[in-house]
Amino acid sequence: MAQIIARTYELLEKIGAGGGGVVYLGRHIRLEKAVVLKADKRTLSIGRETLRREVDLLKALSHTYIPQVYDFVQEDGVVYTVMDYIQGESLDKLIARRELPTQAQAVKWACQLLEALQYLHSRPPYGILHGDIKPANIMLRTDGDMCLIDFNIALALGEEGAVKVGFSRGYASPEHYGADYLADNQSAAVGSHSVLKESSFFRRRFGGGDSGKALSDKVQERAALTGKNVGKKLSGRRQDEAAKSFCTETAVLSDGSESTVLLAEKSVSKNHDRSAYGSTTGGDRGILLDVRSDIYSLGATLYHLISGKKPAQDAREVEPLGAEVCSEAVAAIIRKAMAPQPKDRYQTAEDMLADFQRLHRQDRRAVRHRRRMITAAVVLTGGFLAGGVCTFAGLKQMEQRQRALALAEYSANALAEGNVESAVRLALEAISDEKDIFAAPVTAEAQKALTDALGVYDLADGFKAAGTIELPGAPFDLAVSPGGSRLAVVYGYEAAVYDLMSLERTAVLPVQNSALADCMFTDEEHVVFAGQDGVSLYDLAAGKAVWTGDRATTLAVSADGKVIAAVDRDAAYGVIYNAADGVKILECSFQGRHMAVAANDIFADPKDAVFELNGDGSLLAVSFSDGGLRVFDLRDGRGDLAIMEESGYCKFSGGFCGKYFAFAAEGNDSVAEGNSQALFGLADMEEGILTGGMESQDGFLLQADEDGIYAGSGNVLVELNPATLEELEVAFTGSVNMTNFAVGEEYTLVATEEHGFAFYDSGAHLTIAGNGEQNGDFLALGDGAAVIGNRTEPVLRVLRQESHEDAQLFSYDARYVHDEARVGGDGQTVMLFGYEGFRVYDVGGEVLADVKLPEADSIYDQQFRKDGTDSWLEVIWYDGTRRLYSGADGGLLSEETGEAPGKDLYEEFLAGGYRFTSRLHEAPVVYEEISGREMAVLETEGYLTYVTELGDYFITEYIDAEGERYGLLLNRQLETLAYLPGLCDVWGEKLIFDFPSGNLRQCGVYELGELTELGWKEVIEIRRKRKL
Amino acid sequence: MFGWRGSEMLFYGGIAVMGTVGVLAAVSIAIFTLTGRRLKKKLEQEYGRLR
Repeated sequence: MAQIIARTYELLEKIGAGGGGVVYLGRHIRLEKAVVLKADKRTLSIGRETLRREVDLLKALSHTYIPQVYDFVQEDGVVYTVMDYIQGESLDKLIARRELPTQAQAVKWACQLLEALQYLHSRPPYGILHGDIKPANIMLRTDGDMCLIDFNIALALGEEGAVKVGFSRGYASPEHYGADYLADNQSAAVGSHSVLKESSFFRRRFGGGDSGKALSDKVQERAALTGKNVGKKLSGRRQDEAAKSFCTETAVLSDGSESTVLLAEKSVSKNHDRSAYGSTTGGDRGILLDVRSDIYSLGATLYHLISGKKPAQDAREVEPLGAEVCSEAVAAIIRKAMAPQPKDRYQTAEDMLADFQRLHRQDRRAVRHRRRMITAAVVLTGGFLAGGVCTFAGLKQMEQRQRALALAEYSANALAEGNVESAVRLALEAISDEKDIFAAPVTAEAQKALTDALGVYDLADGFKAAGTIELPGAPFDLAVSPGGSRLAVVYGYEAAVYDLMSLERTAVLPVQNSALADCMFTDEEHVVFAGQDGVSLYDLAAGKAVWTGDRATTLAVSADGKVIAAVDRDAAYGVIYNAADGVKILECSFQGRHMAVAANDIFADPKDAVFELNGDGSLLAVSFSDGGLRVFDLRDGRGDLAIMEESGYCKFSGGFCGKYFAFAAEGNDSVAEGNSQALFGLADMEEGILTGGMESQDGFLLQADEDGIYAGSGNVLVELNPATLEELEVAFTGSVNMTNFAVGEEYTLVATEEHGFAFYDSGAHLTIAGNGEQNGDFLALGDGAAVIGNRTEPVLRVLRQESHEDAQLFSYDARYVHDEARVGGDGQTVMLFGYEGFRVYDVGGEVLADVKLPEADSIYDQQFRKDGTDSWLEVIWYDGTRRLYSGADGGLLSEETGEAPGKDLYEEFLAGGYRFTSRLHEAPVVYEEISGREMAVLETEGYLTYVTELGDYFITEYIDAEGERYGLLLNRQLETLAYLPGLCDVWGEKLIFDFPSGNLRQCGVYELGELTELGWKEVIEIRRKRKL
Repeated sequence: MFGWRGSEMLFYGGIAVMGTVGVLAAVSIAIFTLTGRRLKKKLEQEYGRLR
């Protein structure tokens, strides 16, 4: 053969022929490359130029799964198209051999073919339609990939716009056939004239207006011509001949079972607006196909490929692929691709390709797997976040709790220092009012700190901490005004006057640079002080000095406030002033003697010497550095009394009480006489004689003024009647010695060793005791207030007298000795009992019964028991005798003798699901009642006597080693919320307190909200007082 | 429990929850990785490799 075409290609062999032309295997002579040359028969029918445009278009195609068209040559009137030679075989041959691909292979090939279609359909300007996709037109390359061939009937719109369209039965879409059911569908308008009407597609594609209309007209005209031409062609031949003639080379290349019928010209649009396309059936009807026709054909090809069965020509009769053929998802894709109506198919190759590519993703197992992963991720992430939130919240709560504990401790310290406002404020700060998850619950310690600071359960009358006065320096001395409303304090270089109600400083007075510098009141409105310019009287109301005298350090004011005596350090005379105008009444010569002054008087103790005026200022007592003590008669000197001319005593104290002068002197080891170190004496100044005295190895503490003479030594303080020398005990401090005291109208304040202080009422009963950080070097009792100071600390503690009459329940004879007090079950009687006996009172205070118990020394235990409104006292003797006495009238209810009790005093109390155990000399232990698990160890300082459950609280009652009774308020977690001093009973929802003063008082349990409200009120009240 | 307070239970409980979730997450990742691979293999057998 060896025919040379266009001097470039050598025809080697004919490899196929069909209606479209003859196909040759050729060789590019210069490149030595195998090519395919297709001699196109359509040259005659469509014209050379048209064919050239088509081939030019095909030459521009370049895709992996489409053969490359290289050239277009003409030789001897035959037009050849030169393209890639594809090695492999067409799929129809595989099908014929029943070598059907696996589903995976079919999917892979489908994707490749769809990519090729996608490429073709997207070629400019309007896309290229293959138009005859079928197994015979798909080559399986040797590398296993697809190649879509046979473009002789594929076409693109050019200016002339049309080539003939063929179809292969079974693969061609219904539109190819112009099937009747399409005519029923409004979406596929049939007939050339109806197809070509201007449509929304054209409007969209060409922008409407003239250009869109022009193109629409052009296509309409072209379709009309085409229909006419085809009609003409078909009319000139018999139908069977035409069909035969139009079976193109596909029939040749394949096994003849598939035929491509050249049907009509077509217009190609990758768009598929329903009204934009139609079809021409037979030979005289124009058709418009779109990409969905290719999609149908590809679907049919896949159908055949997978099932091995050629699909029915009528799309409606295509049998669905079963599960035995392929998976449901693949079958669904093919079913959709082969939908009879174009609108139901994939609208683009991309859509179909996307569905194939989503096969993995949309498989129900993959979906289920993904859903499980998402669920697990969500659950785990949620769990992790929840854990994180819990951890963060817990951390915040722990931080807040630590802060609350620290604040509660600071509050307790502030309260111990007497700074109530600070204690309340710190306790309130420790109680967070935040309610979110990050806020820790209120700690028991904070609540206890607030309760203690407010003192709500301390119902005893007496002095309670009210605040502190911060001083610029440590005090040298302090004095209270006669009315008790003001306080004067001397510290370095200054004296300050404070209002004891508001604790505000009302005046600052510059004083001598000496620790001996005095400042004292003449009355409520005037204060005399050892000023830097001289002794001055200062009017507090006017805020200015009334007069100023000579320089002085030590001062004395007569009890009536009318006379002032002054002496400057170790001067040998004193100056007497009229307090009203500062006029010097006289100068009192000390006859060459002088008062004791240390070498550096900054460190001198002003309390170590006597410089005192009597009530009307007529007598002046002065102690001297030589140990002498003398009383000067300021009227005429005739009444001078030398109590001691010279002695070894170096520390003096004393004062006038009426006509008596009481004094105390204390020496040191070098006291010459050596008989004693301390001396107390009493002189009758009218008689001019010493009327009494005593000596002691211990020092004497003395306060002598117009209110009385009080002397203390060791642990006893007595009031001495100067006329009869009778002693009346005022205070007894027990195991500790007193170091200082101050006597007021109702109470006596005593400072003791170990930094303690205590208040005693007029009956010498201890009412309140406390401890400070330092010794009470300075004590003062004013009008409802007490002040405690220390020589080394620049702080004064102020205590204010409080009364709790409003909480009064019952009064009894305070002299009746008893261990416990209990309210009867009916609330109408009160029993006071001890081992010696008991009394029953009615609430009006009348004694209903006074019973002495027999053999008191042999009593083992006493328990007051209640059952509803009944109550009785159970007394058990060591011999096993057990008697019950009525709580209502004290009558003996029963007596029996049983087994002698053990001596361990072991008791158990069941309350709130807990078992409280109490053993003598051991701390009470609480166990969970059911499990027996140990829950807490309670107060170690006292013996647990009672446990009462009250709402959400437990009230535990104790007695300590000294016989004092108290209670602790516990919460459900057995944490201590409050200290209940003097608690003796719980009746109903009331706590009952017994005080030695003969009072039973009551109050309820304060809830946290009430406490915080009281706390804020207290803070506001304190600030309000300060502002006043 | 253990005499812990609410805040301590929150803190240590939260840490325990986070730790447990961490372990569960590791186990879940392992299981899902394994089952995912097996599923992928099955799907590739049925539908071919993803392109």
